[in-house]
Amino acid sequence: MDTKKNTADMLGELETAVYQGDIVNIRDNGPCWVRNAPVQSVIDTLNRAMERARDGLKHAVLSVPEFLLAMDAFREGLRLVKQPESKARTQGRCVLIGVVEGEVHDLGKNIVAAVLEDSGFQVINPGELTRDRTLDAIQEHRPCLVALSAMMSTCIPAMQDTITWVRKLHPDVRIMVGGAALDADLAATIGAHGYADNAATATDAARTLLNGK
Amino acid sequence: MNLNRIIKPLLRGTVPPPREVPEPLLELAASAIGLRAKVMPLTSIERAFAALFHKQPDHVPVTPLVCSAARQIKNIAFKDLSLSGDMAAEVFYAGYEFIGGDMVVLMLDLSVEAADFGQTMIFPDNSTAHPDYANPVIKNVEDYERLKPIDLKQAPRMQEFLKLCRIMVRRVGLRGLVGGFVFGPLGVLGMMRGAENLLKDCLLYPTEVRKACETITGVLIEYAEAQCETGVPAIAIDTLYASASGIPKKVWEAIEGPFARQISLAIKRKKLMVGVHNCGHNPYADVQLKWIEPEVLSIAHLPDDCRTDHDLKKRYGHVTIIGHVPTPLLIHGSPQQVMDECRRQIDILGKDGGYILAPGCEYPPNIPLTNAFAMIEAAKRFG
Repeated sequence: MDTKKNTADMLGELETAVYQGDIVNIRDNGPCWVRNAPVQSVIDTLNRAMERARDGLKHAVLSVPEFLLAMDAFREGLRLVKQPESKARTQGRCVLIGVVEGEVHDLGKNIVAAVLEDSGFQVINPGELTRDRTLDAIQEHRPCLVALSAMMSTCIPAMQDTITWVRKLHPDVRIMVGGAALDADLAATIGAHGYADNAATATDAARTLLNGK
Repeated sequence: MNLNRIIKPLLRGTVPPPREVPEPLLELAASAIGLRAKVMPLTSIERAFAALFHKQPDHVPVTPLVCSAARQIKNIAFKDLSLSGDMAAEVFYAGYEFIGGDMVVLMLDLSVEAADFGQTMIFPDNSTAHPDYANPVIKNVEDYERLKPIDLKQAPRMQEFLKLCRIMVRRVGLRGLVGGFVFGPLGVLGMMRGAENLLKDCLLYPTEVRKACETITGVLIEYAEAQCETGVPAIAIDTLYASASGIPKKVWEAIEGPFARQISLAIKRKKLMVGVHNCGHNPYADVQLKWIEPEVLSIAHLPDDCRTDHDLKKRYGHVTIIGHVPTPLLIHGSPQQVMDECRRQIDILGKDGGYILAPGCEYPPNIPLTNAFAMIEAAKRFG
């Protein structure tokens, strides 16, 4: 009984440490916290912490860097149970995500990728998605959603070109875009099915797009 | 009042440092301009001056912030624009002459300062210069303290920018205001570390980040002072990280706030006006005003404590607001849609001066210039 209670308490500490992005604490005390816990309980705890972090980001309780640290802490937590990230996540519908050709700012895209993973999507994140790389990745991974990001307005033509070809060759794949260079109207103008204003709304936007699919 | 510093620029046909003139005299002049605006058209300088001193101009001043987009007029490459003050002046002046507007803000690109600190840059053919993020100057936390100040005289990008300022001040003369530009120390660091790492470092290693900011700020102060000497009457400080896109408000206050203040004070000592530019989401206007005490606030999005433009005018109307026509609208909107949005903003923000119509950030570099003309037209029609 005591052991059970202690394990629950200790997993609670792990959850808090992940939410707070406290990697040092996880490194120092993590092995002790998870010693008597089943692997799945640890993974559930880590996912719960990230769910809280996502909620915190959504409601502006957590800032962007705090969320980034929580992501790092989550990965540190996975090392405790020697689990790759892909196995720890719920493997739901597949999303292909990337910045468009020429775009060098991938911070927002990486946060959206993490948020989508926390929300149960299987996320393929190869980095820069040129038109050809996007089409190849669709063939390989069969995503139901392609998420494209652009911060610089100079990348909008590349985004539009990619969207045109994805729609032409894979009409069943939905396309969501986001980034500082866009708004909902511009997203519609260049042919995207949907638009996410920020990382916090990305999950809702993706779910809305895939509703019924 | 140093009369010499007022008369000399005027004799050269350029704008003197505005704060060299005592405040009561400035107020008097602004009131006189405000009265004149009721009966006759103002010049660009008068219009901007009236707006800056919260008098009603004949119509709101406008600057479409056509910076690198003006390359299209002269067919000048992005790389030449970045690396040559002469070429950059050709571009900015062409934008000013061809499109118009009451002021020119010399937003070249955000890589100028970081490049001179040794950051390797990439110069794409069809886009603005940016750092090679695979090869950052700040590779680890220890590198923050290793960062060394640089000699402004030996800093080629900043020297070319100073040349740009000098040429534009001379060529625009008394027809309009020319504003200088300094990227804040955290912005420069972001170029040398990568945004993701810098954001995390601000929380994990604030002392080290602060140390690097201190090193950079010393150079930026010298750079800002050198811009003042070129004859620009105002300089904008870009504090991008003071927004929800950046770091928490308190962290910004603890790290960049004091350094941004030092830069602002250096500009003010030269009797110039100070602006803040921030194109992040939900900028922290309150703390930026607290630390920098600018006369002008240029934003792309509503501050974190404002829900509407009415809130913005009510809360921050005591400074002159520049903005904030959305840049995506400039890309996809028709001229009529752009003019409609300009009219909406003018109606709310333009009352009793204190407003300059502009995009929230630089006019998108690769789109047609039609919507820049739409903004100029909207200011004349609805302002």
